[in-house]
Amino acid sequence: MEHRLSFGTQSVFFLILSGTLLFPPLASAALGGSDQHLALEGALQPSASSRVLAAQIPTGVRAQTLITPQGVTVTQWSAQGTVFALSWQGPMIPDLSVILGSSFPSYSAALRARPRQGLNAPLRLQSAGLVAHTIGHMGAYSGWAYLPALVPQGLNLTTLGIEP
Amino acid sequence: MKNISVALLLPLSCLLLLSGCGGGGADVGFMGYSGGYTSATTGNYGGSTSTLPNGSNATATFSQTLPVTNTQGAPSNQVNVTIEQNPAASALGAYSTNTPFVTINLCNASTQPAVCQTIDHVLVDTGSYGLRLLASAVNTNLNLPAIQNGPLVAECATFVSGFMWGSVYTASLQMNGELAKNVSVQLVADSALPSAPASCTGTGTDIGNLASIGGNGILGVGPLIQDQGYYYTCSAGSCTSTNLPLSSQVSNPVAFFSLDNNGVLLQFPAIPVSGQSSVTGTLTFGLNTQTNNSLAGFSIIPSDLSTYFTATIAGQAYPQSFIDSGSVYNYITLPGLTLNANGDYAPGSYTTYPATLSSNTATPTNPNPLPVEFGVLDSTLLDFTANAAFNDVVDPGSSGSADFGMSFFYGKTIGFALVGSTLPQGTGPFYALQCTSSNCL
Repeated sequence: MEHRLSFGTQSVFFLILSGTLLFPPLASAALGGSDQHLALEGALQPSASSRVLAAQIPTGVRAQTLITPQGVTVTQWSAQGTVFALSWQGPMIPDLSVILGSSFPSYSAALRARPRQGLNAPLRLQSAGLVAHTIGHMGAYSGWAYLPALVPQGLNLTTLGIEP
Repeated sequence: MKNISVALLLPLSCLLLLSGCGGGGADVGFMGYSGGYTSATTGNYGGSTSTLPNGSNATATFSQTLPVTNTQGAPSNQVNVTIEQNPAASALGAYSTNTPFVTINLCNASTQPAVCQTIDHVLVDTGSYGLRLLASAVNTNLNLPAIQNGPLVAECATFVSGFMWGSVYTASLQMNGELAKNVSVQLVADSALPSAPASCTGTGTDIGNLASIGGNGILGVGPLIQDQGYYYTCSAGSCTSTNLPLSSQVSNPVAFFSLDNNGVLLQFPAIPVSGQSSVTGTLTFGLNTQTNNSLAGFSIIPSDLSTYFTATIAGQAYPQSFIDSGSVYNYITLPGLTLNANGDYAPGSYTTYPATLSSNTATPTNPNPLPVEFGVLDSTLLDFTANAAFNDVVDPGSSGSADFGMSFFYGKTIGFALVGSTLPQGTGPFYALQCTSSNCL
């Protein structure tokens, strides 16, 4: 079985069994996409993320968190049904091509474009279309990404634990 | 075409060279090594040498025997670490700036006699755990054994800069007088594997090559043990995800040494702010186990289990900070400084910044925050062709994290205590710092 599942049978099974949160099995979800399900396979978590208390989630913003089978916690933030930001942390880097969706080519291009910085120098991608940071070292990575054009007016990203 | 020579140790030679086969005092690491290698620690071993054809990136070497001690005239728990331009990387147009290299001896200890190969320009990385070598640098005639019966095991090891996709084999690592026997290692970009699956390529970009690494592989000797990568089994041209037990994962070989297995010291001399063409330091195995690795006089920086501590710089706290020889420069946000065309901070003249390093955890007892400082110089004033070692290039970090990279190591001895190790200074993981240059503490 692959790590990568957009919405696998197992996830559906889990959701039905758990009865906690039910998302209809739509075809795609990622940064910039619908928030009707989480893109990665994993166990859904009730809280938004370890960095943000549920009570601090701004009005109109939906937070959904899961933990992948490998132990990476991924939180996606959406407004009006569209995912505009996400953050993650875990022992390894998750499948960013799934959670960044159509933004992943920009992310991987930024990695290839930078001069050799060694293995774990932080990545800071600050472009008009996509802001993404990845930091850490083996066993303890974290990161976040957002689409500036989709961030709700007046929302301070730092309240989501994200550096604007 | 380069050649690699592999020497086969004849166990009989130990019997013939009695003076070289006695107990070696402080030399340790081979007890329990089976098949005629149990007692030898010193001396010049005989043995037949055969030359094997090889198309690898590794420099041709020969006359490797197992065990070997004091190959570099240093204490047996110590090897030299060199910062220099790696000619093989330079040939590809890649600079190996601030990349600390060691030479390792990779052995197949499942055969008798054991077969070994010397591999040069392996990056010492305190931000990862485990030995990873470009498959192209490893002589196929080593015939390393698989880690388990059945389908070949593969791994996707993830780094911020990208992923390394490779096969996993059992090998023994010898470095001077130390031997880590039968450790899982990764052979990166192994042509015997199917291409990396989407769940691997989706983590970044492929850095499993000489130009990206700067050398023939990575020796991960940071404060943790298992690498926690994505593991797969591969057969019939495809790979499927598998849960590999921690004990089978690619692991920090230091933890496998017989005695000097609780951490490492990485030491480099101070260098000028203009940089230096090459620098030689030392990698010493063990903490408080020998006369040359005592932590007496060191300042201790306790870390959490993610090996993070809090760095405070210009009033801002960075709780996910770490010390990483595998990061080329320092990556620390310095508000108010402009960036040059290289993306590096460019103050008008050389400037030093104070920082304090403190623990994230209540235990071990948090000592007083440790004051350090680091320098910043506009990198457009530096000559990256003539010089390979620089102590003052700083790039922006990220909120919450300061990455003290190779720039930070010069003029210091920095200790990395392995998770779970128990020392008078605390329980690992922790960092230990001793500064030798005037601009340090």
